[in-house]
Amino acid sequence: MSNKKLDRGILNISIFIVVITLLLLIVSLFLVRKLVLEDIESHNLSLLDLTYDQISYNVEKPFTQIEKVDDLIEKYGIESDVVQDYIESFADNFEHIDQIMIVNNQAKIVNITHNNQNSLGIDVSYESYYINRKFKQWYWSDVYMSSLSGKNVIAASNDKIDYMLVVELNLEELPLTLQYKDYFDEVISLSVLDEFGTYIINNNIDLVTGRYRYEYFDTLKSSSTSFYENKDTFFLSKLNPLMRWYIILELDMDIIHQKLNNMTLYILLGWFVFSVVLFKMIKTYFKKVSIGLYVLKDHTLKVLNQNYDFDVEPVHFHEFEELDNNFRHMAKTIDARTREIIEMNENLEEKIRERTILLEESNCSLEEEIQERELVEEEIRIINNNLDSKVKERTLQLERLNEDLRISIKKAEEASEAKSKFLAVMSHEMRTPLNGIIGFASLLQTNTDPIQNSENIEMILSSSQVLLSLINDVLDIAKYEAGEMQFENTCFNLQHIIRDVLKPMGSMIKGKGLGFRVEGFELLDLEVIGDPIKIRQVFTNILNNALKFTDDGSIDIYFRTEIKDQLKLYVTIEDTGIGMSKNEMRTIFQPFKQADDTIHRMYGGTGLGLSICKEIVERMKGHIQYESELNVGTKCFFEFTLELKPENENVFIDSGIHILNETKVDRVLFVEDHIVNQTLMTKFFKKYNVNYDLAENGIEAVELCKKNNYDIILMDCQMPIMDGFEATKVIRTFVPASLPIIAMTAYTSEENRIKCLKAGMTDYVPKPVDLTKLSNLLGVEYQYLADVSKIEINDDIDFVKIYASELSKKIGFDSETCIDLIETFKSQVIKALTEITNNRIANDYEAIERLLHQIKGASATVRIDTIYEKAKEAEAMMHAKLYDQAFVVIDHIKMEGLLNTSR
Amino acid sequence: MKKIVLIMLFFLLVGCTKTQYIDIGVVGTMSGSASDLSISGRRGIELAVDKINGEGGIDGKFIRLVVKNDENMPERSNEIVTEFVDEDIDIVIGPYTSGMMLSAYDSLIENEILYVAPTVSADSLSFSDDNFIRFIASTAEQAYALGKVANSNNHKNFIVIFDGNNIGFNKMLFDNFKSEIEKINGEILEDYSFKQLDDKTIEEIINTINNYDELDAIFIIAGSNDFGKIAQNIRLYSPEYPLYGPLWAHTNDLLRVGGKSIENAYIVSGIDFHNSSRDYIRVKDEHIDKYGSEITFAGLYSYEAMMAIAQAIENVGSTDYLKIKEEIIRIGQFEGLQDSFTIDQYGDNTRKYTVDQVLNGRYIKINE
Repeated sequence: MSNKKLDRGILNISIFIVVITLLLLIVSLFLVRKLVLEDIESHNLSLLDLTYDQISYNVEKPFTQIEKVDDLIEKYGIESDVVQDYIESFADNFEHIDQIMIVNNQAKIVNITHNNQNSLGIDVSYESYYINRKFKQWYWSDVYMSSLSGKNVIAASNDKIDYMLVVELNLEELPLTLQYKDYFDEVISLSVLDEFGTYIINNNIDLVTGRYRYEYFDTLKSSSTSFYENKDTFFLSKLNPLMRWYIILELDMDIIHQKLNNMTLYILLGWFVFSVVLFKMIKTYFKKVSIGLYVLKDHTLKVLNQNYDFDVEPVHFHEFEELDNNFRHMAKTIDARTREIIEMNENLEEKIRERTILLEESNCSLEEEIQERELVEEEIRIINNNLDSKVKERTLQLERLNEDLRISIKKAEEASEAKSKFLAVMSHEMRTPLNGIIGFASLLQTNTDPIQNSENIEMILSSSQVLLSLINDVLDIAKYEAGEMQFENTCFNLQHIIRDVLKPMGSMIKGKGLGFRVEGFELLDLEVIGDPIKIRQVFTNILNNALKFTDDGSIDIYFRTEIKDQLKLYVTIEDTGIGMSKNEMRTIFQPFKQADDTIHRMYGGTGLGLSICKEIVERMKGHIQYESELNVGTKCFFEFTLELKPENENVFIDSGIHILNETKVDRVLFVEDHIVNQTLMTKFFKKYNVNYDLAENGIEAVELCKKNNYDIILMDCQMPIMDGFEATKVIRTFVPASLPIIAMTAYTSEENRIKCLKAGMTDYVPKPVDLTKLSNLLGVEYQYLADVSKIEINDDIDFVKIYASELSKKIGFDSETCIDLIETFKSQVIKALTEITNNRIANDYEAIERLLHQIKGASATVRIDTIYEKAKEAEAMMHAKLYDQAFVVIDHIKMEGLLNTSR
Repeated sequence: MKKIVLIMLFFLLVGCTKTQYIDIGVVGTMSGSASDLSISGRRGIELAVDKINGEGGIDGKFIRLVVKNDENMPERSNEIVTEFVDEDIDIVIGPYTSGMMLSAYDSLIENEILYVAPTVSADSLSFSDDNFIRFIASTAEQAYALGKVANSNNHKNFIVIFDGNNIGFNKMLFDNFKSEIEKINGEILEDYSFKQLDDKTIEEIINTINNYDELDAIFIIAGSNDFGKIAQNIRLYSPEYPLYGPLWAHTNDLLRVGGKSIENAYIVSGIDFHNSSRDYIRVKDEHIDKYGSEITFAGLYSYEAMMAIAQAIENVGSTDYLKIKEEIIRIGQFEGLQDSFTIDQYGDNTRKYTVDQVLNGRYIKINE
């Protein structure tokens, strides 16, 4: 970019022009000066010529006339009056002729004008004009003072042999013959010099009277040219050859220079005026141009400042006008474009804001995730830190396990051996009654005697009893071996159960002729919780053994109880049977072992009884042991523990609610987290006009209980934040035991039931809730309001309506409610499935299990079995950590028709 | 840059070689009837300056003359002293008459300027230690020379006619002449002083002369022009008395103006026209060549004065008026063009005069 400014450029050009003109001016000045000098020289030379002519006319001409005196002298004599008159006439006519003398050849003046008698006879031989006289030629003397006039004169002599003519010229008169008035300005003086350089004529008469010699005469004489210049003067000279007079024109160099300077000044002035006018013109023109430029510059500035609207301003040139117009149009276009851009920018900014918010949100989630990860990493770190100790611990455990394993292997080997024996025994034991059955059955086939057949049938039955007993024992021991022995928790009266055993056994013992004594039986009148069948089985087995091996003597039973929180029952059965050796004693609790093979052969039996007893007693936190002396008798000690039935508690009956309210309850607290159940139950409450409060978790339930008085609390067990068990425990601390808290749970196992009771719940309702039973519980009359006909099922994929129709039938609710329920269920399941997917990514399997439980519960509520079964299966798999299989099942749930249709 | 330096150096050298001048003043009556003496003196000075400058000047400096015309007016003469002083001119040659010298004298002694007068001989200026040197003997010497001639001619009774304008010289000469005449038992019958030589004055002069019968000679103390006119009138209206004239009148103009009337007149002379000294002949020839006429005593004395001044300037290396005066006095003895002369401690010339008689219109030296 050029940093030159326009005005600077124009100024430079102007200066350039002025410099060029100045140079031309200098050259022209030089030439003009030369011309002027030449002119001065030439016109002064003319003046010189003129002067020369005048001198010739005034001096030479009369002198030639004077010479004609010769004729008169010849005729009248040298001293005659005629001659005197003749010469007198010249002196009279020419003012500048002072005297005319005629000198004889003795150098004496013999005739003279004005009758100057004093001068007659004077010797002029010493005068220069005499000494230097020339024959028939005029000789000019030096300047001297006239004896007649006392004025400066110059004399001219002309020798004529016989006489000499002398003419004196008055130097004061002589200049008058010249026309001085027409001198040019520069002429200082017009001088006439004699041959010695002495002034003859000069306008400064002092120079003439003072007989000064011309200062530069020697230079003039020696100079070959007719002019000479020194610093002050410039002279031109011309020599009159006749008189040898020099005519000198002296010019004042100062005046010449002044003339030249004046001329130079005028030219310079002209040049200056020209320059000023030129500058002025350029300036004016540039001003006009610059107005246009400044208007444009102003407009560009406005555009730069985003001011696109400006007025038309007057400019001087059409081009600028056009340029300005174009510029304004351009500005308007820019304005329009700018506005568009601004709008676009605004939109863009809005979008950016939206995106930013989204990003911020996702950043927040990410941060949370990162925090969680960090926590997990921290845990992992801790775990890792603990890993070493755990590894050591585990190693120890493994070593122990290895040890145990060795023992187990040994035991297994022993067991295997025992099993082989057992199979041998079993085959024998089972074949014996079977042979009896088959044998007596074949007798029945062939025998027609009714008495014999009756005996045969009795034998078959007896053998069958033996076989059944055998099979029962085997099955028991199998369960025991498999660890699958199930204990029921039933509330019962201990005395009743034991009496049920002792009564037949006692008759059998007494029937064998043995004594039978029972002590402490009265202590057993207790309501306990336990498995009465198992207790009966223990007593039966031990008493059977005692009976089996006792042939005489007695069998005595002693009871002793110890009651703290629980009941501990100590039992001793003492017989006077064959007894056992110590070796035999060691193996009596091993399955398929009997004290001796001979015993087996003598007394029969599978040898499984005591093993089963030991297992049962130990499961009941008890212990069994024998003391025996061979042929003396055997003592069996065993004890076990039973839960005492709480005094204020009702006893559960297998299938749930046993409470029946005669009157309608006023106010219900319904605690449920799952929305489908909430929906169903709220609809239920509304339907039966039951006042209810809904709590979504344990804490809410506790708070509500504190505020309000309820007639009944329906409590879900599995809830977030605080579960039902915990909530019940808290509530029980400030509500009376009489307030029924009914658990609502899908878990119906014994464990769960006990858990409910222990938490302080009164009863439980299994899910899905049987609405008829619930009506009873709440003291309302159940109404069946199913209106399936209202549901129009248009096609077989309208799952909502299909399921709603079925639900309506099952729960007796109106179709609208059912459709609503199914829809709610559908959305909830889809939501749960989404959460499962998320948790799967996060490997949160517990959460998945919980969600599956919810799906299971909800599907039970809306009676959709297909989903229920799959949810149940998946939950179980998750619980068993069979994740991959569980997710296969979950995928099957996702493929359910209901969840894949929009309706 | 080199070029500029060279150019500057060139101009500097040119400046160094620029002609330097010693300005010497010349004062005299350069116009009018009494101008003959001054013009002759000026021409002598000009010849001397031509010689000095032709030989390279004084220590490389050229003599330049500044000529002033006193117009034979006393007040002008007085002014001119101041003019010279103002123009820083230390040494002036002139004036040429004692009257002009006396007019300038008061101004002269007040200023630091040296006047060297080649032709001033008034005795009143003698024997004073002033800034004035004359290259002519005192009027007493002229009176003495003329007294000797009168004695030999046995002229005893004189009438003295003198120019009252040049009273300094003329009165002094008159007194000296009177005493010389009285020495030879002569008598000044009458003295007549004039200021303006008009017809009336001439008539009175003629009457005065015609009053005395026993008159032997007339001593006219005047310039050549007045001398000539008076002489012509005496010749016309009186018997032919022998005329005596001062050195002052000894010019060619006297011969031209006087004509026949001054034939046999005795005029004091300071120059021997027939001297054969080589220097004199050279100067004489130069004078004729340059001016077309013979050199006069005024020219000769002026030439010698200029040469003496140049010698003094060269010796002291200065133009200081006092140093120059002292140097001229110190030198004392100078070789003139025709003979040697001395300048005494008062700056007075001790040159001897001769007397010429006009015979046949020419100056002829009287054989002593």
